[in-house]
Amino acid sequence: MRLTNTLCAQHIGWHFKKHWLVQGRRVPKETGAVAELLKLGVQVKNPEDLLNTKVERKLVDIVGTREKAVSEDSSHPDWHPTVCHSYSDHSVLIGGLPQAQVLTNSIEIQSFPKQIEDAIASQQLPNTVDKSVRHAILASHVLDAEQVKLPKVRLPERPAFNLPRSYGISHERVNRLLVNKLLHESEKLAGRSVSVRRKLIDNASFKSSLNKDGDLLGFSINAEKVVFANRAIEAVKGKFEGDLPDLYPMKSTISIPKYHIYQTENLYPLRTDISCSHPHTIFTVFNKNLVKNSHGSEVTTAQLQARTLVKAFVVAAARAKQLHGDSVEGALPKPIVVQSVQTDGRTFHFGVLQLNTLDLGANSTTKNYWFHKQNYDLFSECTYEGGRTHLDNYNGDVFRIFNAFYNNS
Amino acid sequence: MLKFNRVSQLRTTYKRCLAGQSQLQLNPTDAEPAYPEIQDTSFKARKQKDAANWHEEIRQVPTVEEKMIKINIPRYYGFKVVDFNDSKIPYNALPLTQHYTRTVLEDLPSKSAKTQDPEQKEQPSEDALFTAARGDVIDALEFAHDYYKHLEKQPNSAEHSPVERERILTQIIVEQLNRALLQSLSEEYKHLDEVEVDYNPRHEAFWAVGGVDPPKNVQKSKKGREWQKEMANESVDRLVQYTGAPYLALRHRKQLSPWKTEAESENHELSKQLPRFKHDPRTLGYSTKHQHATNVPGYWPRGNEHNFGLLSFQSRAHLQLRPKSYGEQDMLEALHSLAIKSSYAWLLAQANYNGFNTYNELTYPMNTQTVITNGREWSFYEYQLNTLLLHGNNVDGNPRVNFCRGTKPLPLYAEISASGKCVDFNDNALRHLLNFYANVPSIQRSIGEQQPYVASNVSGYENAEQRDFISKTFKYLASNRPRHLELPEIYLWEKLYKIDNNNRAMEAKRRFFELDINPWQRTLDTHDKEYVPRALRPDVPKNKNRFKKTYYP
Repeated sequence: MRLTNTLCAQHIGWHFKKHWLVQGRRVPKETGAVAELLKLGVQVKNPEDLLNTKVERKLVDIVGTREKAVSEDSSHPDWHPTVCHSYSDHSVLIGGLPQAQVLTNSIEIQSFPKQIEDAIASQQLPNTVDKSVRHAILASHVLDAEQVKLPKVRLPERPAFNLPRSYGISHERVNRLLVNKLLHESEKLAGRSVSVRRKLIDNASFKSSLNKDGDLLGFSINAEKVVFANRAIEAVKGKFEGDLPDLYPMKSTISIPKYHIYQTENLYPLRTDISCSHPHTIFTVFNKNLVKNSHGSEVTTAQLQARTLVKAFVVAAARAKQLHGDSVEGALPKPIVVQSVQTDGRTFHFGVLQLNTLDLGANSTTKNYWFHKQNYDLFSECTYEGGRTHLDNYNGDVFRIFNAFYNNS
Repeated sequence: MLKFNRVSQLRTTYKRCLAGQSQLQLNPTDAEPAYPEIQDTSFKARKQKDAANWHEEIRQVPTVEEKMIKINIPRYYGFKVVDFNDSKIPYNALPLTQHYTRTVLEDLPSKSAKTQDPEQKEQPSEDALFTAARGDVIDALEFAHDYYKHLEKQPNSAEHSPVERERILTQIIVEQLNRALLQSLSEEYKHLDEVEVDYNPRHEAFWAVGGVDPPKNVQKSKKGREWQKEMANESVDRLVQYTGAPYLALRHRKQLSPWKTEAESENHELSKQLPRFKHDPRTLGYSTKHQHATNVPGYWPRGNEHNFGLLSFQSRAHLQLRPKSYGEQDMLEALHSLAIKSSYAWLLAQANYNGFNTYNELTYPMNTQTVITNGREWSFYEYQLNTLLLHGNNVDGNPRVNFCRGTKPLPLYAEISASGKCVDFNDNALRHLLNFYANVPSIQRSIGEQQPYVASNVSGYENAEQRDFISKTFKYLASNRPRHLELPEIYLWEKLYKIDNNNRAMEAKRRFFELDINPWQRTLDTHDKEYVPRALRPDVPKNKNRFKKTYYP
């Protein structure tokens, strides 16, 4: 029979439940039996204790299908009482480039080193190179056939609006292809004499930890593409003077998350005794869906540039510690130069870091040098619309800088 | 009077007809009357004719994208396809692979013996080149292993399965080796400067195979109809969809030169000797799925740049998952079948971008080279695609066959010692690899010859709306994203209470199986058209152009 209102009206289940509730709350009447029994010396026990005796349960150590997660407290093997400011790939320095400068004890020089500037000005590229670079851009942004679900797109005016998810080339793949293809072009131009002295690897991780005015800084970063050379890049000639920016009232470690669980090991992806182990250039990718400010606002240009600097610094510091041992402090016997390029597929930020000292304290006399210029756009728009490819405002200078960086030694 | 008129009219018409006929018959130049061909009106013949007409329609479609849409039109929810991928090779896969790709397998002749005669003079420079390349390759190998050691030390590397680990290591080795070889050879071989390198490209191909026994459900349904009983055991075309992602693929704008002549490729005797695998592919362990037909050689169709494959590096990591009890011989056959199917599929996808497909035959042979590797063991294969026609009766009637020739897996080195040095480097394997890189693609055809069935290009269409529609539909089909609404399905309770037993006779009949609708027969273009908001059509009356036009071929 179907559960209709008529049926429910006849149903006594509800009444029965109410009755049960009332009866369940009944308090047994005091009959005086306990007192009588006690008088006779008979032990009286609570029926609850006899009926529901408490059984001690043993904890069984179940093996399980996977290893148990280690709790993230002081029982963790990597727990340290001192806190560490741990900078990782997704961290953003809220103070931007000035904060990064203070953090890495670097002075900013708003140009590239002279040898790179000369190379950019004097390099002779064939006329076909722009055509190849245009093709490389299109091939990585538009013409590759990968189709994966892309991140959600939100309209700021209508944040609750659910747009259809689009399928296309993932951001990681666009950048991987673009950097690979641009490097391929550079290697073709340079020829075997240069390219045999370079080695490329993908997704190399670097770790290093340093002390700065009593604070422990831990860096753990990943570079999407790294070029290694068989000889270290020559130190930049000349002496550069400058002051670190004043961050007051901010501290230089602000916005870097603090953890008690960390490792202070130094990690550099290659051994020192193989032929191409000197860091030459690192390429890092900026993905705005992964790298965010903690308060949700967009990453600014200064913050992006700070990221380029810090990544270069970590690579140089990891290399310095690998060469001179973990205990190295103060000025390095020989400066280490690392070139750093950050891109999101469209915008490129080029910089060169010369690591003179690992002493990051405020009283350090020697400073590290950070050469960089403003961001460059490789193009303004690259789309596939209406069955046609569009590449607007292609900027050929970017590849010229790219090429000069690759050939620098 | 009226009656008389009509009779006289009829008479004159009859006379005119007679006159016309006699004129035809009495034409002195014609010895015999030209009768139209007598059409076979049997069911089978009509079916075959319809199919042939459809294939001809596909051939007439002007652009590559529209051809792909046209092939997909019969099925809204996609075809039921055999899932042929590069990461599963069941036991005894070679006969099926040869049947499904119409491939004759041969041994790769040792190149050194063949090339020595014409290149006798170049031997010194060749050797210098070889030693330079050898040094670079050993260097790259040692570097790759060194870097991989570092990766293994990372905390998250323990989570990787052995298959993933092999993939990671091989990806590094292949990329390093490719870079080293391009560097060292490009001075001598200028074509390497023009190659386009695809990293983990997407290779997909779709084709139809005839000569396979019909599945049980088809047999049963035919046996249920009196007039189809005799045809119950006739073979039914199987649709095959290949999906794969090699480590690396090189493309060039020119074609490799074929190594089998046309006479050798067109050999009825040879085609008869090809192995046949008549059983359902599911008996071996292949699975089926529903999806749209896709043909992707790693990039989207655009003009005629770098349309021909040179070399692809395939993974054999998944072969680790095969039980040891399959034996050595089956392992070798698995490698052969992987080489055959990946080469065939990549070439088919390339052919597709030149206007050919599984229903429209190639007009010239296409070649590629395939390397299967796990970093240490390298097998080398060459493939020549002569025919794409495998559907229907072509399994018996098509004289052309495809060719594949390859080597056993050759070790490139014995091991990497604890100090990171390469031990027992095998020059023979490297020579094979060098020969593949040094194989100069030399054939360049005119556009008309290269793409005889492609009349135009989508980007050349004047109508922007049409361009947009075609490219969007093409990408939508290729993405194979799930449909917005769930696929039609008969739930188990419906089978029990509605179909097998009529227990709910009073209920309204609204489901597709109650309305005699076969949802799988729904064609791609049966959908509501997209509405255009009025604000976007200001100059026309409000009841005009309410829906977007569709441009299905």
